[in-house]
Amino acid sequence: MMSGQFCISAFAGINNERIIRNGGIISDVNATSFDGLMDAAYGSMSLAYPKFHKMDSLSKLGFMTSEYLLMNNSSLETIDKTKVGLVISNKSSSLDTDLKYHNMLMKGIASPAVFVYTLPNILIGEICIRNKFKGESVFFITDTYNISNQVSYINLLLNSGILEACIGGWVELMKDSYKSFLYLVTKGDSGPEKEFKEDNLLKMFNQI
Amino acid sequence: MQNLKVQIVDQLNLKDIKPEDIGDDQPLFVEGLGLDSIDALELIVLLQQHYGIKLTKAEEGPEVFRSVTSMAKYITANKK
Repeated sequence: MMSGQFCISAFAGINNERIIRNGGIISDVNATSFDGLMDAAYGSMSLAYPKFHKMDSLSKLGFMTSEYLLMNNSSLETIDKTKVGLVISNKSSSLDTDLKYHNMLMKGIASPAVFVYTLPNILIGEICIRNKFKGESVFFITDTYNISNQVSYINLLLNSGILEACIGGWVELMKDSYKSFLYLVTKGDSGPEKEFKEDNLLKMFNQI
Repeated sequence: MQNLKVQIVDQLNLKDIKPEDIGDDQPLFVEGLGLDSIDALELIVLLQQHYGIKLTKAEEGPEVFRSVTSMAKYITANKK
């Protein structure tokens, strides 16, 4: 496995009504609930992306994290979008929305707009649609965030030339509990602290 | 008609659009409000939930959901 030729260009995450980007707190977004935080973040970024309001909570969390991750980041501008992919994990899959859909079914009429979010990889699709990414992507379900496996998998995709850049991370949401962490890996050398390796990712993840 | 616009905005989560911003004869799909295929299914659910109407003929969909006016006419003619 080659190392040192890929770096972590940026990272972002959302947890406990806080938004973190590259180690700093986004201070202009304040809320006391998840829904309030998502609305405040959307308004703060002046996104004008109506589809956001139709997403389920998991997709909103991943989507908004990706917006902060890629904000003011020019490292993808020159990269072929068919070579940009995502490798994301979580524990609860889409269970939060699955249960909402199940409850709707029990009451009689279920919403098609809710049904389409009863898969976790839909959040990858939302990020890809937004950014026109068309590279290989995958969503893994694991009890805990296995950073080591994720680094190995992304290295495989990058070293084999399947991808030239990759967004990796963890986007977990179940009822009132949530945490997201996304990072962008690109070619280049930005020093040892940003080298794409497990130790550095763990430090970043723990800042969220 | 205003009540139907409120129901459409609510059913489709159109948070960036106010009911009064929707024109009576404004196309709902593509060049109008920009609704998509999932929204069309949600409008079918709206008819069923609020008016007890089941749209059984798929070929009627484009005309029924052309605008708020066409939806209101369909509801008036088929409401149970």
